[in-house]
Amino acid sequence: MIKRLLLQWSVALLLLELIGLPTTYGQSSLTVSGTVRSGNEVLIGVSVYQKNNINIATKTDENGHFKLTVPDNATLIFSFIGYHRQEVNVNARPVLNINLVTEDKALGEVVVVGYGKQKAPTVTGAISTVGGKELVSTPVSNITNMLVGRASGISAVQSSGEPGQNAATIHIRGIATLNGQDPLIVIDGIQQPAEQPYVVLNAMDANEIEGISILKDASATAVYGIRGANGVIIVTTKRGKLNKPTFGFTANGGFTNATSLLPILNSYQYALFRNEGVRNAEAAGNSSFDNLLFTDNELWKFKNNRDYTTDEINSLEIGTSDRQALANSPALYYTSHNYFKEIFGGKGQQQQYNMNISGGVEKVRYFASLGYYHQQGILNDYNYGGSNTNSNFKRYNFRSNFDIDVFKNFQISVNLAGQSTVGHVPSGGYSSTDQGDRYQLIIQKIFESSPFVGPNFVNGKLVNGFIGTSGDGINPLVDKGGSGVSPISDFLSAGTLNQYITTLTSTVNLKHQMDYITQGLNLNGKIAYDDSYTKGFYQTTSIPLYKAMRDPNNPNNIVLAGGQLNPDYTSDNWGNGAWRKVYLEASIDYAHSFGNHNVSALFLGNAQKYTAHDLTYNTPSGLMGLVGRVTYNFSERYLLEFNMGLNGTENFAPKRRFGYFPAVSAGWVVTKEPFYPKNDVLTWLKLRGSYGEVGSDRLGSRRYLYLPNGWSSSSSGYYFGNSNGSSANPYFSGASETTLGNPDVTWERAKKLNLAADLRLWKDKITLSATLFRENRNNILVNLQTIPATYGVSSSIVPPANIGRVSNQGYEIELGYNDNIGKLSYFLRANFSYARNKIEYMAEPSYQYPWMNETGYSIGQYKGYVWDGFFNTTEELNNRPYNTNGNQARLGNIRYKDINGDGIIDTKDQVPIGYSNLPRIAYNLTIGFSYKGFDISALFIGTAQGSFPQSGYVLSTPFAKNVGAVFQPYYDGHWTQEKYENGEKITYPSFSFSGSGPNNLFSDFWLKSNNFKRLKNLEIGYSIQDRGLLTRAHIRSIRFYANGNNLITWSKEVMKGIDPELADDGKNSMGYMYPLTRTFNFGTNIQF
Amino acid sequence: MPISNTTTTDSVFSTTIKAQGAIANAYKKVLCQGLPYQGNWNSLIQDNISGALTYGFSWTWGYGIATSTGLTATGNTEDMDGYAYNFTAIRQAYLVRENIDKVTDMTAADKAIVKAEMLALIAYDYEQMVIMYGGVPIVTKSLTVNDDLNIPRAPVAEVIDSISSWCDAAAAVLPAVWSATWTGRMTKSAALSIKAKALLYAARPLFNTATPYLDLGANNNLICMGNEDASRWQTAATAAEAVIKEAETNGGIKIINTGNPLDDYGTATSTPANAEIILAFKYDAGGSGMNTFYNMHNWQAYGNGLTTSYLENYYKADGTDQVWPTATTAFSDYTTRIQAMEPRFKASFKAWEIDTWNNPNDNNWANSNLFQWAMNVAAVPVKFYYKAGTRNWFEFPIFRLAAYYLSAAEAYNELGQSANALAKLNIIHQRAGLPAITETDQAKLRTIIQREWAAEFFDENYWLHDIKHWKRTDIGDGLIGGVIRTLHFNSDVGSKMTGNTDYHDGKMYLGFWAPRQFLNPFPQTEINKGTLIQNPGY
Repeated sequence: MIKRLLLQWSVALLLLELIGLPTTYGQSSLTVSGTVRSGNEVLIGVSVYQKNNINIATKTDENGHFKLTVPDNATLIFSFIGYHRQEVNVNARPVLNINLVTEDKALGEVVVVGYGKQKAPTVTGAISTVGGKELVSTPVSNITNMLVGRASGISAVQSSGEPGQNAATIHIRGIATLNGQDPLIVIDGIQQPAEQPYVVLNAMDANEIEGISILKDASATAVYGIRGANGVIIVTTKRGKLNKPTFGFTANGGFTNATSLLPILNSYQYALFRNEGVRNAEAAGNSSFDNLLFTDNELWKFKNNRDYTTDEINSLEIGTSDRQALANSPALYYTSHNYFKEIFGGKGQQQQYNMNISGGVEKVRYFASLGYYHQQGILNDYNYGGSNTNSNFKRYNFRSNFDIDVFKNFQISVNLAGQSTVGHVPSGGYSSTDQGDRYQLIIQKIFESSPFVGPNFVNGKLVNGFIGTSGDGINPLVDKGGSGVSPISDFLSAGTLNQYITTLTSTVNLKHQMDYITQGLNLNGKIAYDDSYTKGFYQTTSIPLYKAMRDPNNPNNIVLAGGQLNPDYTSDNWGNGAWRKVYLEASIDYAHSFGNHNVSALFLGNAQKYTAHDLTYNTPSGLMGLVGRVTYNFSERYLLEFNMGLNGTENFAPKRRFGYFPAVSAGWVVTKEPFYPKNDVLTWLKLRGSYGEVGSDRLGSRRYLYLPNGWSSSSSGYYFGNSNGSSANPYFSGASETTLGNPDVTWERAKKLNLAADLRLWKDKITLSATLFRENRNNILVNLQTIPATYGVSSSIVPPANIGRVSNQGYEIELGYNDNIGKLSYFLRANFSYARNKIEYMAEPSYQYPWMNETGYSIGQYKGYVWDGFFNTTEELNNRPYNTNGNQARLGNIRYKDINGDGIIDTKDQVPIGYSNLPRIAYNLTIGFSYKGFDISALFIGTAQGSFPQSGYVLSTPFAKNVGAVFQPYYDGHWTQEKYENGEKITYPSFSFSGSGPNNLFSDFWLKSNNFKRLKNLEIGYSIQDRGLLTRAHIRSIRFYANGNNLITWSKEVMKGIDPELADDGKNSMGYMYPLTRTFNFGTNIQF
Repeated sequence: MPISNTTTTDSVFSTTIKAQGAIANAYKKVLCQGLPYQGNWNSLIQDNISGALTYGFSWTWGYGIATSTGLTATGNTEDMDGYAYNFTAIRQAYLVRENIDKVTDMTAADKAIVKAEMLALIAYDYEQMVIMYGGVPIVTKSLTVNDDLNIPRAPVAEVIDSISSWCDAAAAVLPAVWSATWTGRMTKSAALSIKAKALLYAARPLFNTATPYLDLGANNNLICMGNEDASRWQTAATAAEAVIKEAETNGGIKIINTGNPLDDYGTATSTPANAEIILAFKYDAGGSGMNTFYNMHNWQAYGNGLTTSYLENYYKADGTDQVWPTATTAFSDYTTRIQAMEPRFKASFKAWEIDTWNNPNDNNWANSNLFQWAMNVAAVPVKFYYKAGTRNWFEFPIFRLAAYYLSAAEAYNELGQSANALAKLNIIHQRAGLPAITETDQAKLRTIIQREWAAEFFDENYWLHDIKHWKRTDIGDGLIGGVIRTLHFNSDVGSKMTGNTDYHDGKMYLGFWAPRQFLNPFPQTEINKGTLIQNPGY
């Protein structure tokens, strides 16, 4: 905003000079010509005129040339919007080549803030910025993933690695509320609907983005009022500049694969381990699992991938050559498969293309971009029988941003953008819209199958069963887990889901400079309309499936029967939806300098309405607001700023709709003080602080909580009258309360304090910024667990009240270093963020022991039993406390601590363990080098103090349903008497079918730290430096690069196959997860 | 601002027709108390945990309560909707009571009756609660969040007094009878019945004492009346007599006695809206409702079987006691002995290999049709289905006039008025086709009256609380706790549909009993809120 204001001043000054000043005559004349450039680019339409004589004036042509006849001692003025004005004395020179400097550079870096821009040195709020260049160097599909590791104060986890579903969940400075935690996303000034925070952002093409600002403290976010409390992410798209047209073309392609895969035990070790379990059960007097025991011959067969031992072959009445063939025939029954790998172990291709044009002539500036993105899933693409189950995601992007100067003091900007995505994912056989359910359907069958469950493909045909039943001797493994039905056949025949999402966004921005009233005064208006439409369908394709057996007469013959096809099936209306949003804004802003006193002010009003089919009460959701900002600085040394938002939503009762959110901030640039001695050590020191209030109206899914108590006329009724039993009595339908209103419901209120110091050291080579923050969020809407039953209102309809409180505090450190050794320049940037929240109050009754409460702990703090080693001796076993969870235990089982010492292991012994899923600490380090045309940069990220529960079902229960899969670490580390006696390292409990004890109770044994360090991103590029070559080829610049994402990971605790950045949502903690991916990518960028 | 299309309090109470919905819901919510009306797979019926019937299945709530954990503050009780639901029901009744005046097309007299009905419903829920929990918080209106919601438990005496005065107030307004269209709504007899039941329990030993079953210190009055007062028996007798008088004089209610005991008792317990019913739970939930736990045609009911301990409460048809052999005996002996039982037994149970007595000549109830699997139980319950044919629903008899004859008999005996006691007792006893009782020794007669309660009111939700409030000394030794016996068949394999060979009486399971269970626990989640004082022992 400030930058624009300054542009406008220069126009105004130009006008004054043109009109108001006298002219002089009398010198000899000279024709001066030349070219006006900015860097390598020629500038068109630059005003060239003689100082003090507006009649002698011209403009540069399309080649940047000008020609003007002036007195030979005249002074020429070169003036152009967006550039610093230059005055040049002709001094009788006939040729003048001029290089204009852009005002951006002249004024220093400009930071996008809420509803405007500010010069970086004058910013007092907590704002981090990420440039568009950093975004595009991360070869992933979503902007949210690109932000990871690029700024301080951002923490993220990711739910899934599936194309189209692989966005990250972003939190700004952690979490500070029990309700909606999403930050506000603002794209080119348009607030995204709270109901659809990420839809537009994550479908954007990073090539369209100029930069992103992350607003963290009250000073920066107060202007967003009831939507600002969770932080704000402002995305600014690219715009054209007065320039010759520039064409850009980017093409890149590569592939993705899983960062790691769950290690599933092979058949031989599986058989050994299960035998151990059967024997453990026998030792406990339970012989009902004996039929699961594998014989030595069977173990040999698993080990050697054969169905017959040599002895068995020799006893068959078949010819010698058949014997030889059988001895070499790989197993049909005694196979070993890692089905997880066979489904998720593939490589997916990825391509991206972007074409854009930008430039401008005097009255019109433009940027237009076309993008295409395609990402394939990592599923092995069997493409058997047209099953086409791999995930597939395509995205088409279009954007055009026009800025038109209608009159000298009136501009119209028009933004038009479209996004269209086509997603294709495997369905698992059920058209659930819940991602966790769908992954469960796909993966559960893998986990519940033995590694030898079926042979999969035999002679190119997919087998989904063995011929033969229990006892007939044809299928030797039928009772031991070898049904023949492979998870692959289930997966391939389960069908796919397809989803089309199209979003159009459009904005018209009007701007009028009112210098005729007073200098620096502008009037602005904005209208925006976003529209999104989603359509999906579910489809199954029948594939040929076969049953298999070895011919009993000659086992070399494998008989395959079946292969019938069924009709394909399509079901419409899967996850369909539509929403639209209208946004209106009007504002007045003012900026002026009075000597050393710089002031600016903004007053803005806006209104927005979101409409969707699924909104409660079928009414759109609307917001209105007023925004105010006043800034003052003295000589950019003493900085003072006041921001406020006054917002209203119809979600609250009429008299409680509007909330006022003020914030003040101040800064002091110590190094600008006259008394501060100039030196090279500390070249810049700014101290700044802010305090203010911001709100949040995200109160869960219920709307209009203030409405009076509602009744339902469809509740339970009663039967009156008498039929003597000959027929039913007459029914009288019932009416009872369904919802209770709370007329006092209002927004959450966050009080935020931010204290920071910015330093530049050693000739500005080192930049350091340290921030302390604290937030107290109150008015959090919570369900009152303390309301006694006597109220008589079922807990599901008790109106929630604004009485929850959460505190959140932490710090951020940003460090930068830039230097060069000769032509080798290098930089280093590091961020460290820490945020810790605590539930201060949530209307929770106090339990017997404080650790049973959620209050006093972090949001999402895991709770469970405390692991106390294994039962190593019978004595330990006999002296154990009573466990209310079945009280069974055997040697080698997990031992739990009796925390409250009452001799019983029960819910009272479940205590806070580990941390929450979202890590408290996030840090990153970017290192970059450039030498001549080469550049290389690497981003390392890491987190600490986070947890992931690796506890669900199969993850903690080997041999699910007696035949399920086992993970390698469990086998490698499981307790045995022998290992214990030999003092070997034991990392997992023993296993037995009966009396296996409550090994899988949720405890810190299964809660793993998700701390990790990872080479998140690496990019190596080369730009051709030979200007002559480029000029001959009519190319401005060309760069080739290779980059990769999630390349190397160091994590200690979570099992291989579980990515440490995986969120604990959906059913990920049960292992029903789509693995996160790694990307290798190659590309080129050309500018014409 | 949304255009609200939801129903509000004002719109519900705008017309009589709409208000009837709220009234119907109030009846349903209050009268379902303690009944498995939802048909949940893990529900219980009270006699699953009273030692009368087996505990149900291993997945029903009764299993743990009867065999291993007893009642716990974190588990379920026979108040299956939970403690809190009582107040949801009470709130509904208060909402009707407080808003019925808004109805525009109802006479003032009718509004007064509706208010009285609601008061009676509230009294009923409190009467049920005080028996289970002792003193509970007394709510006097529909509360709002602005009210002080932290209402402490009121002493037992205060709850009893409140019930009594609410019932008096309601009875003064309620009609003696309703037209056929509205049968099932509260009558004067019903209100007096609620009061009489509450006063009977107030007179019984568990409450009528200064020293409760376990000490709760200064809060003893939350679990007992605070003193022993023999005059409470007189109050109870008077209240019971008042019910009998009102019911028989004005209410058109009578003890059905046509001289055909099986038919009379069967009709009185089973036929919807029969002449002996004062108040019933008229909730026909079709095939999936509460009937599934009582109707032996449903799998939910298969877990219920009669124990020997309870079987022994029934007389032989000649009024003498039946003896069940503990040694292995030929199955024919079972048939002989069971056939000799009194009509009330035959109207309530189906014995092995015998077609159901209470649905004679009805193939739907024949031995071959009801047999499911081999079980070691003395017999299976078929009560409430006398001559029901294919009707799967029934109306649970909440108050039957017979209860007030036994209440009066019990009270008179405690007052030492054996003649009065016998007069009342024998009306019930002789209706069952049994010879008159003549015992006048107070203690012996007490035992006989208690046995009469068992034989007359099996499965009618009396026994579980009766034995607690009588403070039966054998409650932990064969009633609820201790060895619970049943009949075993075919060397413990279980009785077959046909071809049974032998049977004997023996232990079925070891029942759990702890003295804390005289009263139910308040849920721990409620205790955590800090207002309520937990009953002792939990």
